[in-house]
Formats: sequence, C-alpha cells, structure tokens
Amino acid sequence: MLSNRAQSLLDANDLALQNYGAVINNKWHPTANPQGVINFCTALNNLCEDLLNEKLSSTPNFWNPNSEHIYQYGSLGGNESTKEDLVKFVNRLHHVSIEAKNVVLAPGVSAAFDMLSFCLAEPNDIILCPSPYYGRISSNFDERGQVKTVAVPFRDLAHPKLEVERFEAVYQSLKEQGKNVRAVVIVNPNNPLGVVFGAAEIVSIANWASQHNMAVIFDEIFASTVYKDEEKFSTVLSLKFTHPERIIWLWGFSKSLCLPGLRFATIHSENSHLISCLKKLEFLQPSLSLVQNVACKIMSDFEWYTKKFLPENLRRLQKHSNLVSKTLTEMSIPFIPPTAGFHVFCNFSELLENKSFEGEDELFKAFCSAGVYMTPGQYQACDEPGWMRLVFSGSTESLEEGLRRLRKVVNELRMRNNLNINSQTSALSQRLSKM
Amino acid sequence: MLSERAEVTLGLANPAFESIDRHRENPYSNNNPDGIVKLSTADNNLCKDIILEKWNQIAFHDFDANHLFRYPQLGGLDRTKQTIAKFIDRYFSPETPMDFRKLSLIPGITSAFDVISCAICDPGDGILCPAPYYLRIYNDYKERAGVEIISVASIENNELTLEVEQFEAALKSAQDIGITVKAILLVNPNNPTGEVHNRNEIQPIIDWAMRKNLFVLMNEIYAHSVYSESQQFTSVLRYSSKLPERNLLIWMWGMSKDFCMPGMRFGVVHTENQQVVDCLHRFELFQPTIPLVQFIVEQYLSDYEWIDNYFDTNRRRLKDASDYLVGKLKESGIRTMPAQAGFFVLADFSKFLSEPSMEAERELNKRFEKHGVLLVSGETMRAAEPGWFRIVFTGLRSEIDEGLKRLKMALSIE
Repeated sequence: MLSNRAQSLLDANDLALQNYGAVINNKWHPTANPQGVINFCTALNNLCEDLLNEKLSSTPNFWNPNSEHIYQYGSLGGNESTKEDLVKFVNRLHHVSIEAKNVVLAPGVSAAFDMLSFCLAEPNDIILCPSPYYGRISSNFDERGQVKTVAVPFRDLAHPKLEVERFEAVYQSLKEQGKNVRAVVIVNPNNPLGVVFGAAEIVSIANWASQHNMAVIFDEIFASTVYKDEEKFSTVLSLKFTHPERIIWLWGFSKSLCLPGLRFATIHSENSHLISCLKKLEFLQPSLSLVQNVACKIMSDFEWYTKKFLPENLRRLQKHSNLVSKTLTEMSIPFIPPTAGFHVFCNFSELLENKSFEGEDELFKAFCSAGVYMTPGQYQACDEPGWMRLVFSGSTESLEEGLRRLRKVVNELRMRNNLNINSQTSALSQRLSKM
Repeated sequence: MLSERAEVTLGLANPAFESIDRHRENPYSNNNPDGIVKLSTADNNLCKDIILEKWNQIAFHDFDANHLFRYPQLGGLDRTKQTIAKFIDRYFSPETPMDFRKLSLIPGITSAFDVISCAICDPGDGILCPAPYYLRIYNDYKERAGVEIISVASIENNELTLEVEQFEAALKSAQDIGITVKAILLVNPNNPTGEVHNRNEIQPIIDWAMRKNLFVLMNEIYAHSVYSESQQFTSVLRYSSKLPERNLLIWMWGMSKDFCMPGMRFGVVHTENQQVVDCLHRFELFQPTIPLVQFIVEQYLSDYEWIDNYFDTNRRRLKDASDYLVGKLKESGIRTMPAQAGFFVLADFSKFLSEPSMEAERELNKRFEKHGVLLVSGETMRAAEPGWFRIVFTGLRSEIDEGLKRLKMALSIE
C-alpha cells in the first residue's frame, strides 16, 4: 500500500532512534533517578547550556522574531541578508572568503544530506564514506534518496588515515559490478573517531574523487570543536583543489553552537547548477525566516562566540576528554586518542566472549544492563567487532557516574572471562594429565 | 555532476515564483505608483493587524530554550499536537475526538504534499486532481517525489463539478499510458474557484476512490476562510467513519491561509493509517517543524475567544473584498465563478481572447503583464478551456483598484 521507498524505510531499523527512546525516557539523575541510564550515545553537547542560556536571556528581544517573517515566504534557498551575515561570520571565523551566492540554507545537516542525495545521484547509485562512520549518514542518503553508502574501512583503525589506495580499491570493485559511484562523503573533524584529518589527506582524496567525476562532500559540522592540536584542522574552504566546483561544504549550528533544536545549516558549492537545484528543494524543506532571524542574532555577536563561548566550550570538552582518556588508560581499554568532537572511539574487543558482531551485541547489552549506553561499532559501519563510541559531553556528574559503572562492568566481564579461561585451562590440564 | 532527476527538476517551470520575483523587483505602492500590481499570490493581508496584535501579546520569554539544546521530537512535540488536537476538535467537529498521536507536524502544506507523496508513491506514479488546481500542486509533487499530477477536468456550466465518471476516465487514461495511480487529491474549500463542496458532492468521489484502493488526500487549508453566508463548510472529519476505508484518508490543514501566516510554514497531517504516520514522522527529520514555531502556534490555537472573534472579522472582511472585486468585474462585463471561500475569484476572460486557444490566453496574459498587473492564468492551473484567470482580492483596496484599471486598459474597456 505504501510506496516501495516508504516500505523499506519502515522495514529498516533505525538503531540510533531505537536507543534514543531508552535513554530519553530513563535518564539518570543523581537524586531524582539514580537507577536511570547514562547516555554515552547521543552526540549532544550539554556542557555549555549555562553560557547559551545567559546569552539568550541577556540579549534584548532575543525571542521576539520579526513579525514580518510570518506574512511572507522567505527567498528560495535563504534570505539574502541571512546569507550575507552567514558568509561574514564564516569568513571571519575561518579566515576564508566565501560568497553568499554559493550558499543555500537547509533545516539541518541531515536535511542537507537528503537534498544532496537527490541532486547528485539516482536511486541505487553509490556514495563512498570512510568507515566507521556516523550511523545516520547511510540513512540520510537512503531513506528518501535511495542512494546507498559503501564503506571504505581504514587500513589501521587505531591510526586512521585517509588513503587514496583504499578508496581506489573499493571504487574499482564497484565499477566492476556495474555500479555508479557518484560522490565521497567525509566528516571532518570526524564522527565517530574524534580525530582530525589533515589538509594533505583531504586534498588527496578530493582530487582523486574529482578525477573520477565524483562530487566530494565535506561535513564540517564539528569544525569548532577541535580542542587539541588545533592547527591540524583546515576547513576545505581554505584549501586548493583541482576541481573546486566538485567540493561541497556542509556546516550547521547543531554541534559548533550546540543548538540542534534550531535546525540551521548551510551548504556551500561553487557549482551554480547544484545551487539552483538546492534552492528549488529548499522550498519543500524550508529554512524558516524566523529561524534565520534567530541565527543572525547569534552570529552577529562574533565577540561573544569567539572570546567567550568557544574557548570555554573547548576547555570543558578537553577536560572531559582528558578524564575519559585517563580512565580508559587505567582500565587498559585501547582507544583512538581524540582531539575534536564530543566522543572517543574505544576498543572493547578484548571483552567479547565471541569475536563477532553477535558477540558485540551481547557486550552492548551487558553495558546497557549496567546502565551505560554507548553506540556499538556495527551501527557505524565498523568492520571489526568490539569498538564503541563513547560520547562524553553530558554533565560532569553523569560522565563520572558513567565511567564508574563502566569500570565496574568491565571488571566483572574480565573476571567472568578469566573464570571461563581458568575453567577451560583446568579442564584442559586435567585431560592432559590423564593422557 | 548533477543527477538526471535533478536536471528534470531544474527544468520544471516555476510560474508561482517567477511572479513573486518579478513583483519583488518593482512592487506597486503609493510611493511607487508605476510599480507592478500583483494579484496573483493568495496571501490574506486583510487581517494582518489582528494577527499582529496577538503576536505582540505572546510572552516569548516563556519559550523553553531547552528545546534548542536538543534534537526536536520527530513528527512534532506531543504537547503541541495535543493543543492542535483540541483545536481540531473544536473547529472541525470530527466524529470522535482527535488522537494526537495520529497527527504529524510538517512545515506547511507544500512540505506535506512532498512528504506524503514520497510515502505513498514511487517516482512515476500518479495522483488525480480536479483541474484547474492551485498552480504549485504540480511542482510540489513532481520536484522531488517525481509524482505526476493528472488533471481531472472539472469545470462545467461555470461551476466546479466533481463527477465520478470524470475521475474514472482520468484513471483509465493514466493507466493507458502506464501510470500507476495511487491517490486522489481534493482541495476543499477549493483553490482557484473559491467554491465549497458539500458532503454530497465530495463523498461519492471519496467512496469511489477508496473502493479502487486509492488514498484520498484531503486538503482543507481554507476551512475557516468561508465567507459566504449561505454556505457552511463540512470537514471530511465529520463523516470519516462513514467512508469505506478510513485508513486511506489523509487529511491536512495549516496556518498559512486561515491564519494569514504563510511564513510560519506550519501544517498538520492526520491519518488513521499508522504506517503513514510512522513514515511521516521519520521523514520529518528532513523537513522539521521548529519548536519555536510550535510554541507560537500553541499560543494562537489555544485562545478560542480570540480565534472566534478573529474568524468573524476575517470572514466579514473577506466577504467585503470578494463582493467588491466581483462587482467591479461584473461592471466590466467579466463574469466570475461563484466564490464562497478563499482569497480569490476565478474570472472568465474567454470573450476577450483573439481566438479560443491557450496561445491566445498566453497573449492576453502577456498583455496584462505589460500593463503591469499579474494574475494567474488558467493554463498554469491546468484548466481544460482557455480564458480563465484567478484574481486575488485580499490585498490593499488601492492596489486592487489600480489593478482593475490596468486590466481594463489591457482589455481596451472604457
């Protein structure tokens, strides 16, 4: 009865959404709900709500949107004045010089992916993404656009690097199967790995992809969350490419400004055809003038953002990152050293009873039973079982409680595994002694 | 670099926006008397003062900023939907109270069309719609969902007549060219004619469609803009349990027309069909309704006393403006379809065409544009016969007078 695309949507499990329910409805609180669960899976940064609240309440008429915005539709693709304010903000922040005519607004980066899915590919075409990748990437391209994401795993996950050879191999194999590979998507700073890919790697991959007539989409939504080795991150807006018209840049308020509920994001491209098409789609997926109004108010206070909000935000993220790194090290749990974002990618494979994704699922359930929800690697296209993404940007209290629970459950699992090994060893030595 | 489907979308004409852009460059006003008079966009400017007064009473500082710090609940916040359910109960009189969990919020009917068509149609499928129809309908369904709107020619004897035979014929023609028809779309009260269909006109069509296992998309966006004293509006929600298959009914409404707030981009969809509800909630991630907007909507839709007064005043002003335009057109020998609701009348200019053809209608349209007045031509609304033009009457009286003057000049009428 429904369309084929709707049927596949409903049949596919959106695992991120499934778990979201559990963590929202039974959220831990030290006094009100001490039996609740710790959310280490939703990439929300709640560390600076106090700063945001202060800003919102101290700005006169912050919430009084201009009533003119309700009587008219805005311009297709975003109002000129908003786009001017946006490019001014971005240019100042990143020392670049993008133009308003190359920018289209979207109600969030998820919507932007959906729009790009339609614009760049036909149903069942392929886009490539280094893996592990943020779980919603494949859904955002597939749910409506029906474009399929194919993973390009890192050669050495513990030391992730973007390598052309890895992409070329996957690309060739897909071509041999008669597939159309239309684009590459790179999230940088990266989710779920929490690392930054340097300029040389970025340019290499982009130039390689362009040579094969692919579009290259860079999601820089975590751009302003680099709290360590800041100089390693360069926005693609500042880099030189062989085919600049193939480079597509995405950014929004959800992570850099911790305002996911505003639904304000932007797409930049020097391809005027793409911009025209995106503008048409924006009418169906609008960025409201009311929202643009609020976004402009926030962007207009550059001083507040760069001198007050950003440094404090980064300081708090670093503090949490350090605490998690220290704890994981003490627990002898390997992880990829994070320098950006709200998360760290950890390797719990040692604890797997059986080294498979079923084993990872069991482990995930064990962690959930212990009241700690992380995101298993299999939901993020990871090809090695046992990795999980740990989000550390909740309150310091909940982080400490979560790490306490994690330590406890890891110890318990280790003891269980040792007992198993001991009993297997003793059974084995008994058999040997009888021989 | 662009996909084929993107190229197709880029190639689609967008007359609604062309009109808006042309006007924006050189809008008529008291300070710009040579500017372009736009009588083509169905915005109700007659009650901006009342809407604004309410707006200025809203305690915006009551908006919970926590909504900004997290991702909004997909499909709309429960409390907003509860408010809307109660509003629908009071102002649409459904047979049984609305279950808020069957509601989906969406940023306007345009978005609703897009998302619903993705849910129930695959690219290339078709939806039957009586024509002439609101000109954006074709684009809203085609631009991304890739769905064909198939016209069901419906003007007979100066009235919009819905007849099962016409739908049956349109269905067959579609099937003959290999289009799978999945639904019918009805807009009641109607755009562009301004007519209100009674239950006894609409229900046979709905019954027919449901027996053919087609979805019935019911757009009631002008429900509370009915100004004719002799006409009542009956929502389909009042008799939905009498329909053969309720799970096929998808009902929608929004704030853009009845509350004069197109910029709010607020719409609501109701269906008993849980699969469709689930789909709409999931797709809403890609076209979200913002918590701030939901907050504003709650302020408006929960103040029944204010709403009752506003609706009364709005209706009076609409009737005034409609009567005025219809009267003036009649004086100039231009007949109109009897309008009972909405912001426009459908006028018959066929006797002014150089010949009874769409080519001649286009010529006439160009003449209107050259004289600085924008209307919507019947061809863009898929009218079957040439000569129809939709004229919006909800602008400033001075602008309408200027527009009428220019129309007469273009038609060489004294």
